[in-house]
Amino acid sequence: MSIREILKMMVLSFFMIVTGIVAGIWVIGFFVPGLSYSPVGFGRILLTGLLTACLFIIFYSKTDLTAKKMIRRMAIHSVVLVFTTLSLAFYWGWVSLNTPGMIIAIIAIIIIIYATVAGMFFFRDRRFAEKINEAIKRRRR
Amino acid sequence: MRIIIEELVDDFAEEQVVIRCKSMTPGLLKAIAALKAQSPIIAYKGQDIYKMNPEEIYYFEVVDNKTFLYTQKEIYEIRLRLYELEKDLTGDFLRISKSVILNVTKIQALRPAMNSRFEAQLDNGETVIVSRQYVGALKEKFGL
Repeated sequence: MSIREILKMMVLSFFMIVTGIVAGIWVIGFFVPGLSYSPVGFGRILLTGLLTACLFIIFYSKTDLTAKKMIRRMAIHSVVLVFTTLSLAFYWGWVSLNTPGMIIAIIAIIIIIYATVAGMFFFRDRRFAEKINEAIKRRRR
Repeated sequence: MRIIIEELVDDFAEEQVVIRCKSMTPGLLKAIAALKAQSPIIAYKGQDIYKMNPEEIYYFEVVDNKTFLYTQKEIYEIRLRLYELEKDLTGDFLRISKSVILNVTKIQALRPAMNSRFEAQLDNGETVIVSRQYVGALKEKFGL
């Protein structure tokens, strides 16, 4: 992927990640009484979004990646993503080893955001492919 | 503008187009590009040399620094680089990745592939990958 495509992905996923974390914390808030937002907390969410969006750099390549290489990079990306998010969550005290439920909840949020971002890209591409296929049909008529 | 067409008597004589003009106009440049797109490409298979018409070419691909030309069933080698082909071939040919130039008239269907790329299914059953960065050009080619 070129740097331009990666930047586009980063911007889109940044907004998705921040929205996902905010929504996730809102859901967790139902089960953890006394949880509240603060400007510092929100800043940390933005920073988490920025750092995790930057991880898309893993997909940068000057040449076209084969399917095998792409799968390998996706695996590396997901592992680094979970590791980074959990490290930040531990560092900022969002989770601790005494709260395994929170760790599971964060991993679940990561999976949901990951699947949502991938799904959004897939549906956008499918719509584009359908438009091209229509144009091909028109050309052949 | 007067157009003169002379039929060649000799079967082996090279076809040629001579343009006599006062200056190059955009219309003439367009006509030259269209003519160039129609000129055959010299391809090699073993010791044999072939003249390939652009309409029978499916795509060109670079593999290990060698350029190959693919028709419906055959593969030939050519002695041109992709950037040279890209300059000469206009019309239906389009660069779709760093290593492939495709004849878009041979696309049967397009479908999304992994990680923002597309798979173009050709009418001979083969598939080629369209890189994201060339998708804009594809869109333009189909007037979208």
